[in-house]
Amino acid sequence: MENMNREVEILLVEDNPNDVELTLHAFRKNNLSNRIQVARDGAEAIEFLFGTDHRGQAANAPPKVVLLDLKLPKVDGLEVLRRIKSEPRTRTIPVVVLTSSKEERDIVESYQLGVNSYIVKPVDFEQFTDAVRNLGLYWLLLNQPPPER
Amino acid sequence: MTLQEFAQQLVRFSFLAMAGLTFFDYLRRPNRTRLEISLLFGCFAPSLLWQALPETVRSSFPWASTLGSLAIVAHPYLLLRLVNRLRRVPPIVILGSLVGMLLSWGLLVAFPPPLPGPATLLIVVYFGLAEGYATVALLRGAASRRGLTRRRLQLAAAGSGWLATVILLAGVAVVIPPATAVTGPVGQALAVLSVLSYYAGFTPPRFLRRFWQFGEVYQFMRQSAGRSPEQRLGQLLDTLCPAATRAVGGLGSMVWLSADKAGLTYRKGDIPTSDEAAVRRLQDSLNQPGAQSDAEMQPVSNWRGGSSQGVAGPLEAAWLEIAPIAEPGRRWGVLIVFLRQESLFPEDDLELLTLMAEQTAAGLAGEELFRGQRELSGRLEDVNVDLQRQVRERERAEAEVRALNQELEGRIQEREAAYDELEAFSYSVSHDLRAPLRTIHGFARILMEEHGPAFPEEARRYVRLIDEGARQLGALIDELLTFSRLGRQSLQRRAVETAELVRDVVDRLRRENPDRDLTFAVGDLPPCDADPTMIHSVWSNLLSNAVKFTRPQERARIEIGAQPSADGPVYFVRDNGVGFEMEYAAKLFGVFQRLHRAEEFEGTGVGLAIVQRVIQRHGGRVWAESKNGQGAAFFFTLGGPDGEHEPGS
Repeated sequence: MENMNREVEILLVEDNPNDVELTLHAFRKNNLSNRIQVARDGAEAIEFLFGTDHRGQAANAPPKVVLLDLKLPKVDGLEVLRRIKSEPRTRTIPVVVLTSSKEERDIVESYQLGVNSYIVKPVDFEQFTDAVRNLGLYWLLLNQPPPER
Repeated sequence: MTLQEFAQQLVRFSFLAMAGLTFFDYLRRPNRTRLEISLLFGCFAPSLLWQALPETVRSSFPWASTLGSLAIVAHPYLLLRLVNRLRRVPPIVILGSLVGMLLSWGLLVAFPPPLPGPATLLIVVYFGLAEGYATVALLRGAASRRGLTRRRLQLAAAGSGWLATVILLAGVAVVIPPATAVTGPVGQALAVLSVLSYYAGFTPPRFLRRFWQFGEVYQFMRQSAGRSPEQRLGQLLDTLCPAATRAVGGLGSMVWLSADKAGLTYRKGDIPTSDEAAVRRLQDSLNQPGAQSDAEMQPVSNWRGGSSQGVAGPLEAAWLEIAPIAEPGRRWGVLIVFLRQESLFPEDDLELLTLMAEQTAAGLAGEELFRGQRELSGRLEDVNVDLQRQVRERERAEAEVRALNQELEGRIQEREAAYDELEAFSYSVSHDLRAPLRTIHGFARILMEEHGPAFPEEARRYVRLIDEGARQLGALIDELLTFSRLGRQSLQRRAVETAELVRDVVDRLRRENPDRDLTFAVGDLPPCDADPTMIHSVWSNLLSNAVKFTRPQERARIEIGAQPSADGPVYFVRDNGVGFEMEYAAKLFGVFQRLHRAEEFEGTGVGLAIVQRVIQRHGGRVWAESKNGQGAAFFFTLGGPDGEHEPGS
């Protein structure tokens, strides 16, 4: 999904294009959002959140949720998580790790760094779309986002 | 009493005393030699005794003095016979003296006393010759001998010499009567001297013999003292023989030693032993059982064992004295001394020889000790060297062990590294395999959703197959991951209530299969010591297999229990399902190995592999029995706490 001019509600950090498509499809199917920014690797994500390209946007109007894959090229997912959770500007953004990895150390590390939720991507498509729908419903509708500055 | 009278009495007394002593000697130990000695001295006695009698008695028996003279005249013959014992006298000389004696007897008998001058002169000449000859013979004998015999011969020679001189003086007195004034006293003095010398030479008193013998022993001991052991050894036997020969006045001696109970063998001697055969004969006779014990046990005098003549013959020895060379508890051999004639004092001789022999034995013992000590120290050296070698070997072995240990540690580390790699590998594999799977599965679904209705039935079937394949692959990956994790996870053994665990699994299976008629017969399940999670997966796998493979049956009957055995309880799960071919039993537990077709029974083929892995890690055993179509039974045991196999933890 291309960048929209309106505010970004969801930052999806995912390197696998197929997974991106599936996720977007799931969101669309459930009418959850069409304001989704996709970052294809960790650098892009950091660029989006902290960089000068999208000047002010990320700072002033942070996304309601960041869906973060862990295995990313360039800058690793955990590193991105660390950055997000250590910067005062971005610390309050809810981060949901959405990854294939069920490895204990990844889970432990993520929570240590302050992740808000850890979801293991199901292989089964139906389960996957369910998970995405639940995600979206929860973080976009149910959850009260941090107030914008 | 005047001096002359005193001197006369002294002479008379000496002669009588000697006669008496020798006679008593003979009585004490009668043998021929002593008899002859006593006769030698005794032949003067009748005349002397007769002269001691008062004149009145003497005149009554005028012929008595002739008898006395006859006796005296027998002296040379007797002397030469005796000399023959000490040193060989040619038979012709003895015969000559016998003739002389008989002639003299004839003269004495023919002419009444006093004898006419010429007759007396004849007798004097005869006497003088005989005594002179004896003297010379004895002196020559003395010259060729050593030790005791030499002394004795010298003394005997002196005796004869003095007596000859006395006779000569008497002859002179007959021819020149006035000379009697000088010859008388001188003759008397010489006569006493001669008697003493004779006595000392022929039958030396004990103290004198002792004196000489101790001199010999002293020399013998001096020779062996003051030398180092090695020097002593070689010469011990060399000094013994001559010393022994000298000490008893023998002709020669031999030393026979027994080596290792092999009987006596000739070792050393100071007699000519060119006659080999004779030596061997003597050896044989010495080594006869009886002889040996005799010779070796006691000192023996007068031993005439069968063939001693062979050796003794050339020596003209008629007498053997044998002294054992022995110590208490140890016999070395014998010392044999050859004597010309029977020893006059065998006890003294044997005592002395035994003393020397004992000294020799002590020397031999010392030699043996010395040799033994040398051997021992040689062996000690060897043992030392050997020990050092062993120590070096031990050190080398230790170094090897250390090296091996290090290698082992290195290997362990390698293994750990390998396991870490494997873990990372399987993690990334599973992660990376899942993503494309999601793609396949996801888009297949989307395809069906969005375009399915427009597809022909066949197309829809294809898409469904794609979807199924993806789903299966996902399940497989999950199970593989579980399997590999089970291999590496640390084993946490705890007491597990088997009965409770099985009950939970059974309940879950019932819930998951509500439409099946499942009968679980759960027997007595003793608790076990195992990792709870892993054991749970074992029971889960076995029981869901049982449920799966009993699906064709109307009523599924699954038996669960435990049989006691020597290695602990044997848990089992028995079902009445389709069973399997025992032929393929080996493949049962292999990864991905399936014994049934996929369309008959779903499954990845990893479940039993997981079961086996877990049981293996607990140190137990798992096996199965079945008959195709008649159900299957799976058994497993769990090893003790030390039966665990930890890979690189």
